[in-house]
Amino acid sequence: MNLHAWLYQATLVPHALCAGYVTVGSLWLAGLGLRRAPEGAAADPIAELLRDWLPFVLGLAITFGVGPLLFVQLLDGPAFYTANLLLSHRFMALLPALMIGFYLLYVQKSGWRWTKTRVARVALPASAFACFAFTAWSWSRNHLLAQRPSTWPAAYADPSALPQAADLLPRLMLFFGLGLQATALLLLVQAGRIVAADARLRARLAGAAGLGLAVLLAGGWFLLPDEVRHRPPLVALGVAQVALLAGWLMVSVADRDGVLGWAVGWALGWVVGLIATATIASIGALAWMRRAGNQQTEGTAGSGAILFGAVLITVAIAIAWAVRRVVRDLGQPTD
Amino acid sequence: MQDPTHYPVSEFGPAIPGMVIGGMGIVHVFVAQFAVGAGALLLWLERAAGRGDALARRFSDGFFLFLVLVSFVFGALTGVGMWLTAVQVSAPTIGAMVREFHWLWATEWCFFLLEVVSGYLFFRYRRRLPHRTRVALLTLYAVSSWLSLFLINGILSWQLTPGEWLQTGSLWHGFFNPSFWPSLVYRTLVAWTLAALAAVLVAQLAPAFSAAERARLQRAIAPFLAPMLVMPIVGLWFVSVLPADSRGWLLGGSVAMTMFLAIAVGASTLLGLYAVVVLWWRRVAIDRATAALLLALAFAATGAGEFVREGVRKPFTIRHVLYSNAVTPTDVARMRIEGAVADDPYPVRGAEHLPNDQLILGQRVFRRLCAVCHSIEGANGVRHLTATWTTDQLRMNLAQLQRTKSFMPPFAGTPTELEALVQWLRWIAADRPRDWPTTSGDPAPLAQIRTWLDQAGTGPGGSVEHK
Repeated sequence: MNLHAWLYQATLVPHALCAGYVTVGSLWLAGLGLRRAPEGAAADPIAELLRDWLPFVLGLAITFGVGPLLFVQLLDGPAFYTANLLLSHRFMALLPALMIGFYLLYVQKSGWRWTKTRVARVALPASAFACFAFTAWSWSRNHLLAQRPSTWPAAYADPSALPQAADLLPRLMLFFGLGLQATALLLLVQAGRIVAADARLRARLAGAAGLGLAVLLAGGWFLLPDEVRHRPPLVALGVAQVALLAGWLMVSVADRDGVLGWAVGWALGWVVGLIATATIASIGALAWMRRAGNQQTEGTAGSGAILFGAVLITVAIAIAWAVRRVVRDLGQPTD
Repeated sequence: MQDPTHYPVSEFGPAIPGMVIGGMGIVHVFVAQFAVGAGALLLWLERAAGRGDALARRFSDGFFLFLVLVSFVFGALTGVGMWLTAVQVSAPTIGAMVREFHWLWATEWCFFLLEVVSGYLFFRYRRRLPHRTRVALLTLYAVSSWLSLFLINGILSWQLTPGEWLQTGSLWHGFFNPSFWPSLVYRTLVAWTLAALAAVLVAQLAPAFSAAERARLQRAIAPFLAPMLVMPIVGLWFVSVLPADSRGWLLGGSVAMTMFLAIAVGASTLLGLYAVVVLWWRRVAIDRATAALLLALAFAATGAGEFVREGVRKPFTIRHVLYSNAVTPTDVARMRIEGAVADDPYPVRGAEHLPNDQLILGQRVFRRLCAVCHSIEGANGVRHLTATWTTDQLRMNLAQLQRTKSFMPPFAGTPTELEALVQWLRWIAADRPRDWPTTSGDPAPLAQIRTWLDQAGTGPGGSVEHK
């Protein structure tokens, strides 16, 4: 299998999960902001978690996003470039949108007094959500246009030939479905101890994951006639979703102490499974990935690849070491 | 997969694509280099904090928030913006860079990931961590951000001086090209300078510090500006490794280029003198307006420097590999026979307003060969540049374009296409009348154009004299 195609998926899946978490998390936070809390009530633990973590996860989403942005240029650069050029400012508008959304996340985390008003608690995350949803829309449109070379000359002459909302809906449903599942799963890991003690919270997260599954399957169904025609990827996708449901079931029946362990192990397994599934699915279903799979791209091997592999391992070790050291030292007295 | 012959061309009204990437590039380089220098500066301050300087600790904790908000958000997104803008300007150029250096770019991405993770770990837990762990995180951050610069520097400098790579095609010959080391040293010095100047400004603006504390902080940061003293030497080193024709542009061959070089050198010299004499040596405390002005001066120097770096590559985007208009030197001879736009699938917008097919062809040729650097009537507008030329002069100047201006690429089309471009330019200059006679049936100008094209050859302007 082509190494570039695998690296594309290996970076795209974490990017999509982080981006889904940020997008759905912002919407979730806006929804929580709508609820009228009784005077003096403790802050909603999910809202606190989201407010605290969304900026960092967006940073990760952007960082992981650079990976597929690089590898798509190797796998299908001309189509990617052409779609960029045809959409031009319509596509580039995602940059200021993303920047505004990013700063809004920091503003809502700032703890400034005015951000604690009910209006701000809804408006800030809702505005951030709009920015991220627009970004998802723009990327989906770009990708879809890249897959339709026969429409390029017409789209150059007349923007109404560009992919429209109806074309994008199934893809956005896949993104939001995956985002709901990722958000529910990540929140479960983050709030494991709280969730273990709170059956209602656990049910709410499981419900969100179930809704995500429904949205994802509906999106997949809409996509089916056009692109996902091959049975093996569909079976793989189905197996991944069954595993997902089984995981939630295990969490729901686990004892209090076991919930966190189950959640972490299962989340990691799900991400790895998604990367494998996405790789199989896209190579089987998308013409450009098939092309890439058959093609020996220049520089697949050689000193550059060896350097990359060595640095990747070194960086992974360095990150693990840094995280471990921070966790160990958090309890130590500062000097 | 190789690049197709034709990409759709984005239009930016009176602006040109080069202005878009120039604007984005200057802002991104400024912020990214600040982030690289800030890693080293924070490590420097943390060492002072380890020796008991509580003020240094307080400052670096606050400064890191500034770094996150500026670099992790704005810097990261303008970085993505650079990719997307580069596509808008010249997809074949970015495509060639990615094909050649994708593993190094992927390696750079690994360091970027380490930079982000170590940076966020520090940002999130800095107040709860002991000194040694803070130093460890800042070391990871500083080293990984500088290694990002190290890798990107090799790729960017390759565009200007591909060196031995042209013969060997070796990845490492391309990466460690003739301008790699001077460029790396210069960028590192710039990064330290920007970080120090931004830190002085942040210290001035932060309400948490008293006047005395600000003065102390300034003294603690000022040694970081001392390496500016060697910048002129490194600058001369960089100029010395430039190809002779590029150096010629800087030293008077192109007035615009020389002026921008003068701005970069002048602003850097002023800044260096002020920083070293006033801030470091005499230890004079400055106010926030002065601090802001120094940083603005640094921005001007960075902007002018980047303009010069981009400009001296002309007529190439990758020296001897790709011309500014994304035509390869080997393609020129082929396109002289087969045509520049024969298989261009994209229609001409507004073709219904053009009086005849020859003008439609002319606009198509302009779009393919000229539009990346020239607008029609705005920035670097062809109407203004050619308005005073006679029709024959226009024919000859375009046919021998690399001789007309040696920073222009050779014309890469047939005589018929060149004549169509000439007629289209005349029609524009005549305020786009409804009717315009076609010269398609006249063989005389085509024969003359063919002669001029053959005389000029298909090589770049700099090579004409040697032939």
